[in-house]
Order: sequence, then C-alpha cells, then structure tokens
Amino acid sequence: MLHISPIFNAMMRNKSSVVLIIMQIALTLAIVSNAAFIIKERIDDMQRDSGIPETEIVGFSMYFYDEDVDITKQLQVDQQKIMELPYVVEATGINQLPLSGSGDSWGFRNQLEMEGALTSGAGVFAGNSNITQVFDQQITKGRSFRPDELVLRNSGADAPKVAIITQALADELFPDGDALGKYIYSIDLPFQVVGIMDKMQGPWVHSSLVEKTVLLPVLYNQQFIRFAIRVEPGEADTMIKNVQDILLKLENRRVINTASTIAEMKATSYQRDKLMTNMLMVIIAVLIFITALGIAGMTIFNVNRRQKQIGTRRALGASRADIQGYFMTESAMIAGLGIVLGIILALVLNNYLMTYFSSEALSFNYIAATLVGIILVIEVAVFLPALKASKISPAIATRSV
Amino acid sequence: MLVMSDINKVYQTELVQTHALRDFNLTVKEGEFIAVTGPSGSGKTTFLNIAGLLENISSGDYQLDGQSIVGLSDKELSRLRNEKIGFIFQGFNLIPDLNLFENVDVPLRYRGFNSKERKQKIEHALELVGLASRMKHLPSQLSGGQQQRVAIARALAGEPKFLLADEPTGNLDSLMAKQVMELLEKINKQGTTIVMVTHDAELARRAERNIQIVDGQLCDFTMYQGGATANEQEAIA
Ligand SMILES: Nc1ncnc2c1ncn2[C@@H]1O[C@H](COP(=O)(O)OP(=O)(O)O)[C@@H](O)[C@H]1O
Ligand SMILES: [Mg+2]
Repeated sequence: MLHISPIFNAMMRNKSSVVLIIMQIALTLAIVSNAAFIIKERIDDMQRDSGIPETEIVGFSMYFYDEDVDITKQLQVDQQKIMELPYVVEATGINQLPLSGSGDSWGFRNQLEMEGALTSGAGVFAGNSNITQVFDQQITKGRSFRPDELVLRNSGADAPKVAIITQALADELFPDGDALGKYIYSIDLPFQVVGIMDKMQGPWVHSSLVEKTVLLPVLYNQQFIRFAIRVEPGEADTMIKNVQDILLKLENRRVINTASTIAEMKATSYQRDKLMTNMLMVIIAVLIFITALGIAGMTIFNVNRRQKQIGTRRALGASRADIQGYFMTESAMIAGLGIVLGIILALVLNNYLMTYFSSEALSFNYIAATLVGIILVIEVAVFLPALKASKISPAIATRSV
Repeated sequence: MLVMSDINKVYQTELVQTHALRDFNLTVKEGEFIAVTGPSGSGKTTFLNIAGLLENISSGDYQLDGQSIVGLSDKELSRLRNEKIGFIFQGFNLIPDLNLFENVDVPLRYRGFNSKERKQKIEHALELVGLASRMKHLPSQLSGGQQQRVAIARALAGEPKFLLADEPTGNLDSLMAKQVMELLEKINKQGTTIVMVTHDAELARRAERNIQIVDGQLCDFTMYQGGATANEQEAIA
C-alpha cells in the first residue's frame, strides 16, 4: 500500500470519471444493508416459535345452514366421534385457528374501573374445556380448565368465569408478576386467571397482539364455526382426508370446508413475507452484480485508456504485481469512498423506513457485513482487468506516441 | 557496461515474421554518449527496448552492468530497469493525472525510498532541469520542451547508470531540441552513460560516438565517416 496518495491524487483530478461509480456503490451499500436487515427481520418472524405443534393440528371451518341444528351440542358430538379415532389425540369446536390470519380479538383490562387500568388487546380462543390439550399447552402456573367450567353460549346463557392467558399478556396486564388468580375484564365481564401458559400465538402473525392470547372454556352457538384436532405425529393427512365424511355422516346440514394443518395456514399467512424476502434477495443479487459489472467495466476502460501510462510505469520499474496492485488499490479506494457515502445513505434510508414502515433500527452489523461483501465482490470483479493490465508489454511505452 | 552479443530479435505475427535485429553486437562503455541513427523501421527502437529490458531477445546474450539478463524473472527485470536505467521517450510519457513532483516520484516509489529521500531526490532532479518552481503543475500546463525536461528529471532522479532516449527531440522545435540536447550533454559529463536514438544528423554529430542501424544490423558508419576512434572500432567489430 505504498502508493495510496498518488493514486488518490490522480483520482481526484479525474473526479467526473469516478463520481458515478462511487454513487453506485453508495446506493448499493445503502439498499443492500437495509434489504438484508428487512430479510432478517422477516425470517426471524417466520421462524418464531408459535408455541403449538403446527404440523399435528388440523383445522377447518364449517357452516351450519339449517338454523334448527343445536350447534353447541353438535360440536360436542363431533368432538366425541373424532376423538374415538385411534390417530386423534384431542379435538374441540373453536371460534378461530392460530396463525390462520382471521379471528377475534378483545380488549382486556387489569381492573374493572377504566381509569388507571392497564389495557391490552388479545386474541381470544373459545373452545371446550380441553382446549389447552388440543394445542398441547403446558400450564406453567395454575391449572387447565375443568369440564364443569365449560359454558354453552346459547342465548341467555352466562359468559365463562375463568380464563387461561399467555405469559406475554400476563406481563402486560400484571407487570408485578402476580396475574394468577387475578381477574381480567373485557367491557364489564370479569374472568379469573386460573392458568398461565408460556406461549401460544394468535391468528394474526403480523400483529403486535400475536403473542397475547386468552383461552376461554365456551362453545359458541354460531352457524359459522371452526374445529381443531390434534393428531398423532404424521397422521395429519389421514385426518384431512377423512374428516368431512365422518362429520357429514353425523350431521349433513352443514358445509365443511377443506381442512389443513396449522403449518399450512402459517405458510399462507407468511406468503407475503416470503415473497418479499425472495424479491429483496433478487434485488440484492442484481444490485451487487451491477456494481461488480460497473467497477469491472470502469477498470477495463481505465486499463485501455492508460495503456501508454502502464507501459511507461513498467519502463520506470513497475513490476507486473505493481501494476495489478495499482488497479486493485484504485478500486479499493473508490469502494472506500462509496462505502463512506453508503453508510450515511444506509442510515438515512433506515430512518425513513423506521418512520414510514415501522421497521426497526438497522444494526451496524448489517452495514459492516455488506461493506465487507462489497469490497470482496469489487476486488474479485477488478482482479481480471487488473491482471490484464499487468500483462501489457512495457514496450508500449516506446511503441505508441 | 552494456554488452550485446549476437542478439536476434524476431517478431512473429500471424502473417509475417520480422527480423528486427540480426546478429547484433554492441559494447557500450561507461560514460559514453552514443547517438544511434538509421532509417525508419531499421530496428532502432527495438534495440533500445532490448537495451532497456522492455523486450526479450529471441537469441543471443545481453549483459547489463556485468550481469546477464537472460532468464531473469519479471520482478528482477523490473528491479534492474528501475535501478540502472532511465528512459526518455519521444512522446515524453508523463502521466497526465500526476503533477511534476508526483511524476518524478514514480520510479522512486517503485525503488522503495522513504518519503524524505524521495523529496530530496525529486527536488534535486527538478532543479537540474530548471523546473523546481513548477512542481505542483500538471504536465498539460507545460510546453513540450519543459515536459521533456521533466521526463529527463524523472529518468535521472533515481541516479541510473544508463540513460536511454528514443528520439527525445523528435517532438520538439529546434530551439527546444537544442536545450534538451545541452541538458543531456551536461548529464553525460556528470557520468551518466547515454544512448540516444535520433533522426537529427546535426544532433547526432554532437555525440562522441555515432552508430547506425540498417535493416537490423549495426553499420560501422563512424568508420565510414572516418571519424571513428580506436575505442569505437573495437566496439563495432
Ligand atoms: N511488436 C511488433 N510486432 C511486429 N513487428 C514489429 C513490432 N515492433 C516492431 N516491429 C517491426 O520491427 C521492425 C523494426 O522496428 P523499430 O525497431 O520500431 O524500427 P525503428 O525504431 O528503427 O523505426 C519494423 O519492421 C517494425 O515493423
Ligand atoms: Mg523507432
């Protein structure tokens, strides 16, 4: 790195020829580091633990079109029949399915009086008293529901009295950690917290409420209702294939929609994210490729333009390695200037994304990793043109005028 | 000392084979000032390129300062060029994006001098050619004669034993050519061996020894002129 200052000075006397490529590198760094960060955020979201055995739970919706059907009773009959199957572990009628993208959320408070209350929204799952078993939930404090706590929500019946909530909701409403046994309120309905579960995601994967979940022991009397079944590992397909026939035999005044696993519902819910990450990856690849092409092209152009200078340098004592080093150093310097500008741009862009797209603050690691990557790509791209320069015959110094 | 023995240089292109030098023999002694003349295409530049290690020889032997250069690596050849040889070109060949100081600095950096040594040598060389006051200028801000003087400063800064010049006055008007010639003579007096290719018979005559290359071979032009010294006859033989 003997020759930094003359190379830099020569470059500065030719600013116009390097400004564009410096800007290109800066933009690439800014966009790639932010894109990589967004990809990481999305992938982290997709890989979050949902707290449930996604591949072992089969869910579907159904519609009772005849108002004469006693729906809460039918749901219990269905449950009993399904649970007789050897490959089924647990089952329940339910109002919504986790990670599916649609369902109910209620607002909850930690006290009856509105004033001074801590509040939080939460996804509410209403099912039979075995609902924690259906979703394979470990109760970390307290207990599961008892069968006698089940409420059949036919007209005029009471609301359930008890609830099981996730740790995330408990922390929000009872920051002191004493949620168990306390009451939570929705509008004016009180529910006593009888159990706390570690983790169970709700229906909306993109919502901040996704970790805040309430389970209630209640079967709704609704014509449009859902059903969740936990099967033995590997038996989901069998269940999906058979479930319509089995249930329609019990009661055919309904339409049963095609069942799928929670894992499949999750994939659908994250489809947009998946698309987005794939698109961003393509953008990253294209940008890096274009930058590499740009700097390689610039070097090829410079090598051709400076043939006589290269020959002269050789005549004055430059070895092949010196000539190659000259162009590698020059491109590294251009990369360096682009990177300085790019870091600033990256932070500006991230600030914009934070303001308008509620993205998180860009971690510096992403900028660092991107800039190391860019330098490597640039030096690889420049290597061959620089090698070509080093092979220019020194005789060109006297042969060209 | 520069000794060429039975050197042949053949250029092979797809269509033709050019014998640029044939059985070329020449000895240059230390401190000599040799003018090389000859018709266009006769092999003068080829000879100078070989003498300056810019091109390989096809056959023969070439000893530069007592060392055979046959089979040396690129690195060794570059080092020899850098240490022992200064080049002056017809087209000056200054690097347009570097100022005068930086231009003269080029060979010194390849030599690996530290910055203090380089600064001193550059200033000294530019003083010698009378351009020390214009160190920060770019080549494009100078006249042709001044540019050639900078090129001479660059060739001399590293104190090489040999100065090789290919038509150094070819692009200059006669006044500037004269100035450059005087500068070369001054340098030669200070002990640097100079080999200069020129078209200008008048300038050539000012050199202490004249040789002519015709069709790739050395001609005992000096003897023919009757002006050869014993020294030269021996060299040409
Ligand atoms: N790189 C080359 N490839 C092929 N032929 C060349 C090359 N360089 C020089 N020659 C040929 O070699 C001969 C000698 O050229 P040169 O040494 O340049 O002559 P001069 O300098 O005396 O005019 C010419 O015929 C020229 O065409
Ligand atoms: Mg010539």
